[in-house]
Amino acid sequence: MDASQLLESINQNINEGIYRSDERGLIYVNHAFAKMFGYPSEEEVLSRSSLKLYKEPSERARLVEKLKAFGSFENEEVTLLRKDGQEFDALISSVIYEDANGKIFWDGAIRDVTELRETSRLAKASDRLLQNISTNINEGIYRSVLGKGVIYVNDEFVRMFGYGKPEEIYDRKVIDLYLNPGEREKLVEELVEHGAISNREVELKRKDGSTFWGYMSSIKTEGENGAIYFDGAIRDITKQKESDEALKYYASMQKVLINLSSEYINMPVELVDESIVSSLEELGKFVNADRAYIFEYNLDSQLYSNTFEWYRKGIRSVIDECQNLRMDQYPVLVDNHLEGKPVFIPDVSLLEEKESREMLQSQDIKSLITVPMMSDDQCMGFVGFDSVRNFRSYTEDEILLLKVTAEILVNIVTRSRNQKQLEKLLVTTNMQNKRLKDFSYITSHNFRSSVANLIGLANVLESDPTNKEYLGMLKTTTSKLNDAIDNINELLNFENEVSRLEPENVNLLETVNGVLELNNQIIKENEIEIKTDIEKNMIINGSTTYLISIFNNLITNAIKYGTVEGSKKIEISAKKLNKEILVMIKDHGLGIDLGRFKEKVFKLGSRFHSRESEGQGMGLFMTKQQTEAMGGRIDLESEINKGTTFKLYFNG
Amino acid sequence: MASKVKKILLVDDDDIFLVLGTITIEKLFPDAEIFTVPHGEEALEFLEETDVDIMFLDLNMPILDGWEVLEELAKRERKRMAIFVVTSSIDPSDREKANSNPLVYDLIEKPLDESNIKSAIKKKRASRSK
Repeated sequence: MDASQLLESINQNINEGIYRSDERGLIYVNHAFAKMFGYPSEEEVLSRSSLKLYKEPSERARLVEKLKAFGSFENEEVTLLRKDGQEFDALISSVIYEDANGKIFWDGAIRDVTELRETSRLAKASDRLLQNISTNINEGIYRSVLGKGVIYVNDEFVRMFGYGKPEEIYDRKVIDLYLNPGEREKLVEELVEHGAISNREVELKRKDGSTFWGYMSSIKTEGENGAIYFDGAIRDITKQKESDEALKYYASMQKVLINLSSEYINMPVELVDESIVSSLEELGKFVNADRAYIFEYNLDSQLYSNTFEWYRKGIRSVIDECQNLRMDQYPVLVDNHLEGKPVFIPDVSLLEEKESREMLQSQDIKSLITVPMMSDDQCMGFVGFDSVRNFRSYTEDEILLLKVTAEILVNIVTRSRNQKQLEKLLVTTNMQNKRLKDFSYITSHNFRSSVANLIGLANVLESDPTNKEYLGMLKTTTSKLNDAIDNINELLNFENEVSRLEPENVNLLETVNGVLELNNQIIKENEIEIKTDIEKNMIINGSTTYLISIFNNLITNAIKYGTVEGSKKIEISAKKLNKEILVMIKDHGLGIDLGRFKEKVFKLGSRFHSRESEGQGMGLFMTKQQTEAMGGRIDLESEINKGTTFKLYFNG
Repeated sequence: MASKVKKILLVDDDDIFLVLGTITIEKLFPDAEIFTVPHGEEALEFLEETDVDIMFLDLNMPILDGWEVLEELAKRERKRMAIFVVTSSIDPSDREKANSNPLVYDLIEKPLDESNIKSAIKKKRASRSK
């Protein structure tokens, strides 16, 4: 095969149209040329005027002139015409030659670029489309290069991350966009290994440092030179996530409430108190509070107290500070509750009313919410939640749910309160019955002993009417009989009073001084030294009558049995404890052997001293009854030959 | 019986009862020696030193009451004596307790006079001869 054969073979087999032409027209075309122009054979092309191959026939002259001027051209763009008149774009390259006779001709190659043009036009259009999508959709689109960083982001991406323009992001490190840089590393590893990730929830970071939840998908592509690209999209799902979480939150809050209500339906009353506290704990932890509590109002006494409390570990308990508060003291809370309104204080320090503000601040409270517990339009108290560590705000829905909680608690507390009252009444009635029975035996005993003595004395006086000794005994016996009658009155009065005992605020020092005044005579006669150590404004919540009776009993006992020659000191002191006031009456007399008599001290009819038999065993019994009737208690310490101390605990 | 009774102990915290009781008992047991103590503790101390034939024991007393004296005596080894519980109590449980206590001959209600002492002694003899 010689060279001209090879050339011809190439000419016929390549896709470009090859031609030779001189000024008169085409001399040679290859097969591809004829095909390109839509002619069945090369001959047919050569038979036509070459001008007809151009859309603008003048174009041919222009190109020939160019050839003559420059000797060649490359990729001249022209629009050509097929046989059927259809236009097509082509690129022509050509070289001019001169033969031995000085005649010129040129060879050229034509490439049909219609398809190419179309592709590029489409490419441009799709570029624009992509651009549009990129600009207008709500997802952040990006391309990043492994090892380099972000090289493209759309507008939404820029907005989503809070930047001003894409370049700011290109200048940043990619890990700056993640809340947790480790997460980016994990995603990259996964992308490299699996080629794609889809719909991952990732916590991302804005320019200002704030964070948001993004839904992220990405694919890996390999570009030229082995570069690895990650193309991806991010959707901001913060709102969706928030509403999901809110939904979950309400669902679990409802669960708490359902637990609360079902738990109590059949609960024995003795377990209720304990589980109210554990429910408060559950609710408190649920709303992320630091204290959860119940206060109960006493509308009669106009006082209110913290009755149940839960507090978080590390937070101070305040239940002891919140007893018997006056209802007119903190109007911010009380007035609203009485009208059935919840009180929400987002920032305690902004409270205008000074007394409430200072009280709440003294308990380290930043925010609080309280919801009244209403029973038949009456406010029984309130449920509340303190925030100590952080400020806390509550949504309408949360407040509503807390109201429901309060309603449930009202039922529980009412039920437990009623039952307790019933039980207390039963205990009181039983105690009263026992007391009356014991009392009737002991008084009848006292009566009968005196009457028996009267009968005996009457007999002996009959035979010896002038015996002075018998007459003295007669006098003693009748006065003892009188005492017994007085005791009956005292006890009957006690039973009457105990049922309608109205507690009042009694000044302790004044009461004690009054009793000492009553016994002034006997104190002076026996040269007894009384020392009182009681603060001037100390108040006991109880009954004046009982307190006088109690102190009178204990002080006269101390004078009678607690003093011996050379040791005649009686000390009366008082001090404030947590919720109570402790009053101590201390003597330095003979003392009582508590190892033997502890059980009998306060029993009706018990006596410990034979020295003077005037006692009928009523004093300490009545003292204990009266103390307990006021909600107090009594105890004693004693050591033989050292003395006795009575300790009384009263409501302050 | 009277001839056998040599020592009688009267236990009561009521001074007047002790005077009147002594007068009554002297009439019934003119040859007997009569002792009085004001409460249970002194009664037990007395009985440590002295054996008596009859004890009249009050129930309601300071320091140590009649029941506690009986409890203590039950633990002791001692010469046999006739114990009469003397009381002005109307508590029915006191009578039940007295009846069921093996040391107690009988319960006598105050006032203590010749007739109720005699009937108590008779009752005891009757029950013993059954």
